[in-house]
Amino acid sequence: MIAKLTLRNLAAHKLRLALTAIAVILGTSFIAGTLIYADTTNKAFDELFNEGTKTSDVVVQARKAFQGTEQGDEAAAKPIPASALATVRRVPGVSDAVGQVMGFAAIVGKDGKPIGGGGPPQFGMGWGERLSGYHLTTGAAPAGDHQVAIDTVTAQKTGFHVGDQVRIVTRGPAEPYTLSGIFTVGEKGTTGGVTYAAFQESVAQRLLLEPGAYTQIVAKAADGVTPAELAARIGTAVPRDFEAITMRQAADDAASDVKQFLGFLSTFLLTFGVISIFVGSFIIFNTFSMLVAQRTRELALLRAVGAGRRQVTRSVLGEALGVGLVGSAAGLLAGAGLAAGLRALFQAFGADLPTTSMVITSGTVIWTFGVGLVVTMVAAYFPARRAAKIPPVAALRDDVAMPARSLRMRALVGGVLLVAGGGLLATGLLGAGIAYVGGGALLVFLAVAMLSPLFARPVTRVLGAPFRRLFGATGRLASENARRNPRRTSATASALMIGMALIATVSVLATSMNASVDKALDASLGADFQISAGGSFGPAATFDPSVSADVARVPGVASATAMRYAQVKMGAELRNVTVGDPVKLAAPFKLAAESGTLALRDGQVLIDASTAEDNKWAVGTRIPSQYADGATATLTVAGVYKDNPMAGSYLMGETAYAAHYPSKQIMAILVVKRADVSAAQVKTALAATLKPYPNLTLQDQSDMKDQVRSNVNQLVMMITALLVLSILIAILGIVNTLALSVIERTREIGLLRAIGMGRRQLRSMIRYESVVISVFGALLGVLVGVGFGWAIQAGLASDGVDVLSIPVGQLAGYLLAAGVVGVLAAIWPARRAARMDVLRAIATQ
Amino acid sequence: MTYVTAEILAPTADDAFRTAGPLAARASGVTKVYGMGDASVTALDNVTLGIPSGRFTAIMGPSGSGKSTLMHCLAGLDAVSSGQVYVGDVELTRLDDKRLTRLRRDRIGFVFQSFNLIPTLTALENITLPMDIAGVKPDPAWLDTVIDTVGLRPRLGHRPSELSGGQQQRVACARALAGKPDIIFADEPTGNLDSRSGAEVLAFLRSSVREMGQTVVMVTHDPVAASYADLVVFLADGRIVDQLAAPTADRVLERMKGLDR
Ligand SMILES: Nc1ncnc2c1ncn2[C@@H]1O[C@H](COP(=O)(O)OP(=O)(O)OP(=O)(O)O)[C@@H](O)[C@H]1O
Ligand SMILES: [Mg+2]
Repeated sequence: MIAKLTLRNLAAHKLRLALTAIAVILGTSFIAGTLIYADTTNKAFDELFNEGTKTSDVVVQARKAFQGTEQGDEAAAKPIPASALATVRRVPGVSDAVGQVMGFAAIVGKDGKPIGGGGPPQFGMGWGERLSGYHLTTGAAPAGDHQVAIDTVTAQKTGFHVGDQVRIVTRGPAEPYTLSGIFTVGEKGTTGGVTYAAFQESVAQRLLLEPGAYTQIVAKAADGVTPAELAARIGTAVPRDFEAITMRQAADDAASDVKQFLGFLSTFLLTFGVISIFVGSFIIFNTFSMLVAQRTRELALLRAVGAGRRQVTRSVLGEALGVGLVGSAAGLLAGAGLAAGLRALFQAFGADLPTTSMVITSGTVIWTFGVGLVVTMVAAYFPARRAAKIPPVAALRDDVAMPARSLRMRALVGGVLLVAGGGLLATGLLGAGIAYVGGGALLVFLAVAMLSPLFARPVTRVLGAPFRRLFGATGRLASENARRNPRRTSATASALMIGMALIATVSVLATSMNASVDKALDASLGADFQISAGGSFGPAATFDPSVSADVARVPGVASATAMRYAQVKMGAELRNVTVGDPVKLAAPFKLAAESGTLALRDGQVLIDASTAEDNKWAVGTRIPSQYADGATATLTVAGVYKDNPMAGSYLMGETAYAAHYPSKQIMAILVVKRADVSAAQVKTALAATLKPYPNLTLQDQSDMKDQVRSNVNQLVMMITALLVLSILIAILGIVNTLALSVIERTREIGLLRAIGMGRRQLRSMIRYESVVISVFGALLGVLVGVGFGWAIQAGLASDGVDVLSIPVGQLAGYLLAAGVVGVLAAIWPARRAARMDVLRAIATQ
Repeated sequence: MTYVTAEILAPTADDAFRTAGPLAARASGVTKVYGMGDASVTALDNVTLGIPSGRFTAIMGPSGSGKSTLMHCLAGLDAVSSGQVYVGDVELTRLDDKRLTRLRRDRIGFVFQSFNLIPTLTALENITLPMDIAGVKPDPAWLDTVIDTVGLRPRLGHRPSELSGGQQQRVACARALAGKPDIIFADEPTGNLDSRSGAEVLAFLRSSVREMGQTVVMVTHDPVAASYADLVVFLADGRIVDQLAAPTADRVLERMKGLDR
C-alpha cells in the first residue's frame, strides 16, 4: 500500500522530482565522467607503453640512484658506450640487440615556431626500424648529416613533404635538414602532440648525445629464454653503471609517472564532483522538505487512518530512492558523455592524451549509484522523519502548521559544527594535510547552512529594502516572500553559498598569490632578462652552454649566468638544487647572506633560511648526500641566505654538478644588463642573438611576472569553470524552490491577480524574490570564501604566499552576477505563476 | 433567530429598482457553457440583469445554480460564452487580459469566502494593496473613514494570522472599499463566519452602501444575509427566476422554498 502511494506520489510530483533528479544527475555524472575518463586514459597509456614489449624484451639503461621526476633528471643519465652493445649481443639468449639514441629535438614549423613543447615531449632519435615500432610510409631513411625523417602526424600538422627543407632545433641553433621520409610510430600512431625527428644514427649521436654512444639498448630474447632470465644475464654482463630490465618493467616504470599524474588529475576532478553532489544534497533536502510541508494534510490523513510513523517515513524515503535511482542512472549515462567532453576540453588546453575505447568499470557503476543513492536518501531522511512527526489531528484542522522547531537547537548544533570545522581547517592548514582542510570546509559549510536561518530575516530585510523602495507593492511582497520562511530561503541560498564561497576562496588566493609573487620577484629578481627553453615531459629542452657565452658578448649585458637544476638527495630527502656559477649567482637573484658566505667552493652548498630552520642546519653542517649517478658525498653548508623564491632553497656550484651529471647542457640563462643601457635596447640585441634558437624564450622582468600571473590565472579559470557546475546546481535549486513556492501560493497569487495585479507585476514579484535569495546566498558565500581565502593564505604564508589581497571589485562582481542568476532562475517559475488561471487559482484548496 | 434582522426597508425600494436609475453593471443575454459536447454544462443560460448603482444586491439560488459563475462573469474574472457584460459603460467582453486586470484593479472590489488576505502583509498593507499595485496614493481622508467604519484601527499593524476570521473578512471589505471601486463583489463573504461575525460584516457592507453610496453585489445562501440587501435576485439552473425588493429573512426563505420545489 505504502509502495503504491510512493509510486503515485512520484507520478503526481513529476516535475518537482525531475528538477531534484537533475541535481542528482549533475553531481553523479561528474563523478561517473571523471572515473570513466581516468579509466579510459589509464588503459590508453597502458596500451601505448606496452607497445615496446611487442618489439623487444629487455632494455639496458643508465642506472640511477633514485628515480627523479623533475626537469633536468635525465641530465644524470650516463650515455651507453658502443662497446656495451657488443657485449649485450654476445650474451647467450640474445637473438638481436640494437642501440637507440634519444634526446630533445624540436621541429620548427613553417611559421618559424617550434611544434609542440610546453607539455608533450619533443623527441629526437637515431633512425632504425629493427626492434622498434617505427615504420617508414613514404620516402627513405635519413642518411648523412643533412637529412631527417619525421612522424606522419607532425608531417600532416606542419604540411611538410618529402624533399622539403625542415629546420630542427637540438642542443644548438636551429639547422636546416632535407626531409627524407615520413614514418609511423607504433600501431596507434603518435598521440597528444608528441613530435619525432629521426636522424641517421651517427648524426643523432652527435646531435643529441655524444658520438658513439647510446641512450639505451634493447634486446630480443631467443626462443625459450624468458625476458626476466635475459634481463638477469644481460645485467651481469654490462658495466656497473648500467642496468637491464624487462621491457614490461620499463613500460610500467614509464607508465607509473603518467598514472600518478592521472591519479592526481582525477582526484582533482572528483573533488568537483563531490562538491557538486554536496551542493545537490541541499536541493534534495529542500525539495523533500517542501513536498512534505505541502502534503502535511495528506500525510496526517494517512496517520489518522492508521499508518505508522515508520510507514510515513518509508513512503517519503521511497520517493527519494526513486529519485536517486533515476538520477544516478541518468548520471552514469551523462557521465559517459562528459568523459568525451573532458577529453575535448583537455585537448583544447593542449593536453591531448591518448585514447582507446571507453572503459566503464563496475567500480564506476557502483560509485555512481552509491553516491547518488546515499546522498539522496540522507538528504531526504530529515524531511522524512519530520513527516512522521505530523500529528494525525493535522488532517482535521484547517490551518495546519507544523510546530515550529526552535532555532536554539540549530544555533547550538551550528555553533558546535562551526567551531569544529574551523578547528579542523586550522589543523589542516598547520600541516595536518589537505584532508583536514576539506573536512573542515565541509563542516563550516554545514554550520553556515544551519546557522543562516538565524540571520536570514534581518539580512533579507536589508537586501529587500531597495526593492521595497523602488518597486512599491510588488517589491514589498517579494521581499516579504523571501523572508516568510527563513529555513527554506536559507537552504536554497546555502546551495549557492557553497559554490560562491569556493569561487571567492580561489579569487582571494589567486590575487594573494599574484601579489605575493610580485613582491617576491621585486625582492629577489636581480636579473633583467631570463632566457629559457620551454619545459616538457620527456627529454628536457636544454641548450648548449655556448649560448650563454654568446649572450654575455651582447653589448649592454653586464653578466649572463647559465643555470641548471638538479636533484640531489640530501639527508633522507630528494632536494631540487639550483646550479650555477657561484660567483655570478648573487647578482641575478639579489641574494642576501644571513650567515656564512655566498662564495661557494667545491663540496659546499648554500641553503635558504627556512630550510636551515626546518632541518636545523647551520653554516658548517655536514650533510650526507647522494647524486643521481649513485655517488655519495658530504656537502658542507657554506652559507645561509634569506628566502629567495627565484633561487629556490638550495644552491650549488657548477664543478660539483659537472662531475656527476654527464650532460653539459644548460636550462636557463639569467641576464643582468648594464645600468647605463636601456632595457629595450638590450632586449632587441638579445632577441637578435637568439634568432637561431626558435625554442628559446626571452623574458624581461614584466614578462616573468606575467608568466607567473598567467599560470595562476589559468588555473583559477579552470577551477572556476569547474565550480560553475555547482553554481548551476544551485540555480536549479532556486528554480525548484520558487516553482514549489508558486504552487504553494496558488491561492495567494489568484487573489493578487483578482484584485488587479498584472501578469508582468506578478513576474517581477517572483523575480525580485529570486534575486533577494540569490544575493543572500552569494553574500554568505563571499563572506565564507574571504574567510577561507584568508585562512589558507595565512597557512601558506611560510610557503611564499605572504601577502593577503582581497579582490573587492571582483567579489562585488560576483554579487552582481548572483543577481543575474536570480533573474534567470525566476524566469520559468514566474512564467508559470503568471500563466495561472485566476479563477482556478482562487478555487484551489 | 437570535440576531438582529434587517430593518424594514422603505416600501419605495421595489419601485426604485424598477425605475432603475444608473446601472453600475449589467449583463445582457449572457450564456456561460463549461466544457464541450456531452460533458458540457450550461452554468448561465441567457441571463440579462442590471446591477443598480448605489444599491446592495444579493444573488441567491440553490447550489450549482450559477451564482458564482454570474458573479465571476460580471467581475471580469471569467469570460462569457455569449452575450455582453458591462461595468459602467465599458464592455468587459471586448477587453483583453491586460485591460481587464486594470479594470479589476481600478473599478472593482472583491471579497471572497475565504483566503482574502496576503499572509505576509499587515492589515493596513492589505487594505492599500490594490492601490499600491496600481502605484497610486490612497486618499488619506477616505482611508481613515473606511478604517473607522470597519473599526479595525487598533489592529492595523497585525498580520492576518493574528486576526479572527471576522476581522479578516472586515479587512477584506475595507480593501474592497478603499479604492472607491464602482462596484464590490462578494461571494459568500459570511460563509465561513459564525453568525455574530457574519452580522458585523453584513452591517458593514450595508452601511457602505447607505452611507458611502457604494454598489455591492453579494452571493449568499443565507436568507438572513440576503435580508441585509436592498434587492435579491434568484437564480435557478442558470436562469434568473425571481427578484425581491426590500427583502426580509422570512420572505427570502419563502421564495427559496418555492425554488427548491
Ligand atoms: N470550471 C468549471 N468547469 C465545469 N463546470 C463548472 C465549472 N465551474 C462551475 N461549473 C458548473 O457550473 C454550474 C454553476 O456553478 P457555480 O459555481 O456558478 O454554482 P453556484 O451557484 O455558485 O453553486 P454553490 O452555491 O454551490 O457555490 C455547476 O453545475 C458547476 O458544476
Ligand atoms: Mg458558488
